[in-house]
Amino acid sequence: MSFTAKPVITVTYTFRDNDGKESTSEVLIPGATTAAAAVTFANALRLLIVALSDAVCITQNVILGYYENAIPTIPSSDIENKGVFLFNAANGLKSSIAVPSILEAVLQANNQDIDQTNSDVSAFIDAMTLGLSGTNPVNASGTDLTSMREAYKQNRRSHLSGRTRKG
Amino acid sequence: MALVQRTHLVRLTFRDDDQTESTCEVNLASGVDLDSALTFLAGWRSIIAALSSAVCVASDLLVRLAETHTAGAGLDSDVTRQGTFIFTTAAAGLAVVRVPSIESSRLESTGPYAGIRIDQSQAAVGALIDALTNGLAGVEPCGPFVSDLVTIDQAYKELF
Repeated sequence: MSFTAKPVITVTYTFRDNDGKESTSEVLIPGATTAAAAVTFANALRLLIVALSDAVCITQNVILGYYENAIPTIPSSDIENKGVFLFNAANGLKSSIAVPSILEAVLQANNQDIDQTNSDVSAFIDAMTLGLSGTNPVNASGTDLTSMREAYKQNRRSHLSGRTRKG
Repeated sequence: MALVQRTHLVRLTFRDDDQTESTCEVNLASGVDLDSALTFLAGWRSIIAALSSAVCVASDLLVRLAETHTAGAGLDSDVTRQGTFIFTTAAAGLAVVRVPSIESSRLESTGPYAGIRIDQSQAAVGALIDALTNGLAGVEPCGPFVSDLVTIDQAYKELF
């Protein structure tokens, strides 16, 4: 089992009309395209599409995807049992990340708090606060995450349409 | 009013033994070069997978732009009125590209298909078709099965 690049890169443009309704235009390009070339293409194509529409283009996404090419038998698990990690950002705001189906092995005896001394947990916290391969994660406004605030398990219902709910 | 770069988004999709899926996301600064972002993605996927009893089945890097001022749509704009461009592919298939809220002025104004068929003689329409069939900035668009878009087959207005 290994992660493999998807055969296509997806470029999407979302348009909003004067009633506030939104719709998306999608163009595919070969997965072998470099990331930088894909973005250059997306920027150029947007101008051509915008010229034909009287709505406003409000977002452009270039999605570089990978998939697991041999999904193993999935062990007992529940993606609604989240490991919630709250981080402090350099601008004073908080930022959270939820890990689906957090391993029970990384929980403390109270079965709720996450054991931050666990080596896999501390590797994750280091990656989030110190960076990984020279890249530092940030919050949604682009500010560095500086320290861990708290980490605990929380059950959150799934709202994916067409799939079974649990919990 | 301008499209500005947002943070890159790294997204992992996990699946549990009930086949239910959930995602885990982290932001990277917009200034991070894309090769570095992809390297981060691979490393981060392993670190997160070690904390979960579900299986990570997909991972994505989203390079995003967003409009800072979303007003300004034309009075006649309506995203349910779409320009549908159908292309033949090199593998003898078909692929569709849609343009939300196609301007009415881009449609033929006379003849039996007035108000329906997109006027391919217009320069702006021709430029889009040329970009999708011949490539743009060195990149050739393709269909879902990675087959080049070769020629325009039909282009018309649809309501959704």
